[in-house]
Amino acid sequence: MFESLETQSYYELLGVATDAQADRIKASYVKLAAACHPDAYRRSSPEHRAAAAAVFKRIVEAYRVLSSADLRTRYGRALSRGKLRIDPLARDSAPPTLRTLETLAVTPSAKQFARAADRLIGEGKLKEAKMQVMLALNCDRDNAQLEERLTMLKETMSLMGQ
Amino acid sequence: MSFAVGIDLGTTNSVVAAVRDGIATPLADPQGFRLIPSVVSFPRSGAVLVGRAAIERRVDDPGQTVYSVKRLIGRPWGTPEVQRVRGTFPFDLREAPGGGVGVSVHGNTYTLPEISAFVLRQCKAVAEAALGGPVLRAVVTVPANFNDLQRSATKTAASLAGLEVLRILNEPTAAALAHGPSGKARERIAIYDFGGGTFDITILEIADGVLEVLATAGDTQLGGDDIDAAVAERMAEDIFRKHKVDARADTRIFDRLRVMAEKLKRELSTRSEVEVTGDGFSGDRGALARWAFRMTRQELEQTSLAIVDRTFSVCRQAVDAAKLQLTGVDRIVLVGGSTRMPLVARRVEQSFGRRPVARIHPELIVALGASIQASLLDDEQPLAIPTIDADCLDVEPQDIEVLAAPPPPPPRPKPPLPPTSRAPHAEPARPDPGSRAPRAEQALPPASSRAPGAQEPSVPRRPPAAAVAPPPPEVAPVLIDVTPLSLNVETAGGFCSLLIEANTPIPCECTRTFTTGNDGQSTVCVRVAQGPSSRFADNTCLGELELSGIEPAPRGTAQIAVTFEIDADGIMNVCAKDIKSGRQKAARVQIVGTPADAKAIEAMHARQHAHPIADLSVQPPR
Repeated sequence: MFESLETQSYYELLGVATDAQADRIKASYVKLAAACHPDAYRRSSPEHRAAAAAVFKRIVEAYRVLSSADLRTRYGRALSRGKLRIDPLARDSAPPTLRTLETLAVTPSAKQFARAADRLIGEGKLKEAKMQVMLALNCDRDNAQLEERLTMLKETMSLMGQ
Repeated sequence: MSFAVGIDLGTTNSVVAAVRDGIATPLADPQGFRLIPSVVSFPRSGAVLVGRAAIERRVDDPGQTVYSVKRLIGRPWGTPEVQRVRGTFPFDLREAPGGGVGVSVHGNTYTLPEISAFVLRQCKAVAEAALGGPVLRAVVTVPANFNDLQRSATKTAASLAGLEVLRILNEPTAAALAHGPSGKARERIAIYDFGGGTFDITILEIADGVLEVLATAGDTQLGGDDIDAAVAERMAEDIFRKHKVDARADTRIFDRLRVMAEKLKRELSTRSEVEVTGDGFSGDRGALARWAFRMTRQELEQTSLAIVDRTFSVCRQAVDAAKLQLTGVDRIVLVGGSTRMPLVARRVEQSFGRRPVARIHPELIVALGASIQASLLDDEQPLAIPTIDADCLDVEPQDIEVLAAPPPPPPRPKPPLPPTSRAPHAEPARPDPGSRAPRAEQALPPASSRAPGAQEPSVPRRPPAAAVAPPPPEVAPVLIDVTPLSLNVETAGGFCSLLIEANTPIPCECTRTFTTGNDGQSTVCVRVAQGPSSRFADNTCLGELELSGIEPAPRGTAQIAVTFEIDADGIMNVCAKDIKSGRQKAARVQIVGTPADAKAIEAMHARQHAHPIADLSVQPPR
């Protein structure tokens, strides 16, 4: 009785033809959004509400793409390559890199300590990590971002009763 | 039986309303007052005073009487908004544990959600007295441009007050809900909400009974208080001329001038000239002799014109975002006490080229809308489209003095008519129950033939409602709201990567894949912010998301999919998944400015329990 969201194009989700006019797309979106908004299922089981929310979010995504001429053109190209979804906001394909303590450290020696701290945090050894961050701060004086992270680390430790 | 209510938690006043017998009604305290001043006063001993009992104490006991906390709730202590205004309040603001704003009274530091909780408890008490039963659930409204931190803080306040939050609702959306469908196929409505502390403009479209928010814009530091302050400045100049005393240098005198200015401003909405006298008020720097101040409406308008006109640049932002002109709006709804100034209505008409409507009382409309949403969301209430209490309808802005309202007459017998026949805005023809199923069927995402994959999110083949028996007798109007602010993550160099654009319908979500920057890195952190800027530091940082336990791998090869959700309350939820291992990661978000741990929340609850609020019957008559 369940149908995968992942097998339908935005056009199929909204129930419109690939050459549908903007008015038609909007009318279909309004109708579907009202029907699938989780509030319409507030007396249903949590599973039903969650399913409705998942559909609602996807319908919003579909409308967002199909209601913009540029994105609709881009989506047409993606669809021809067999891609059913696009991320309208992703500008480049490279995933963003995350901030590590190492990237926050400035001097080479501080980076070395910070890298060790990154590893120790990953291993859950917060006390050892704290020591490394303090050593890094010793090399990188006045590094406010490292200071901030040290404070966060201490807070986390006190929360965990360490 | 317990009740659900709608609460407009305002900067200056709060209002609580409930739907009774299908009619949304503002609830009055035993003395007949519907506006509950958002003021909390802590006497040295005895119960905490809230509302009207507290408002006089702004003058008598300013250090222990807290007001306007909505301007600062959910803002981290270090932000410029807090630092700029902290000196202007006569009570002692200081940093609370966790980085938020606290108020120190009699040696206790209360966080701002705790102060708001006292106001909400008063709303709850007023509602319980009026309804005759426990009030356990509420829809609480917030300005449309409140960010995640401000919404979360408001939700915390409600839970401290013993209320289950059915929904955190945007104020303009509540106003639109109170106005109901027009009957036209498609209508664009501007909700112009000029309150005590904030200004909001929201452009909505109602099509086929579905309400869609096209755009919202606002200024959280622009309100009637600014007009009061400008008038108080003029008073201070006058005092300086006559008595050579600088009232601005004395917060106690200046605060008193602000109270007088507010009263003067209100009176000038109905009169052309008003004189106020301050007799012998004393400040830190000695007493001041009796002093009289006279102002005409024209002078008031000159003083406030620049403040009022700041609202229109915000309006233009909103219509731009909605791809409209100011004149392209079909209906303008005035909300908030400041719209009762004739100048405001006049400038609105000049700017939009259309006369605004004030069919529902502008100070009650938000609470009424919230109560309608509460009744629609509340499981214990029958599904029906509530209508608005006739007492709140067809008002001219200047015709009503809410604070002077007489005690309500004994409840009138309600005619046993179906709600639609009484409704000033009858719901457009609804399909009868028999036609419901086909409509629902049509609403389904078209079925596809492929079987669901085990890992894929799946959706019911039919919309859930159709699968649930028995079908609801009526489908209430669904409100499709939007998130007011863009959600961003920090990227290299202090810039933002946009996750969710402002004005996206909620609930919504966005999944992004992140990778590591170092070989063997097992922990990554992402900072999340809300705001319009592409520079991270210019937005409001919500907190830091920490992903730990990543499988060690060469840099750039680990892939962590992070899903950011904005729920129907406009509050952010985050979850992360390591794509390689398929493991769901514990994503811990350290939210700035709010106490993160259970201990702090427990302490807040304990402080609430330690302070009873004064009984409603001891509220002084005005």
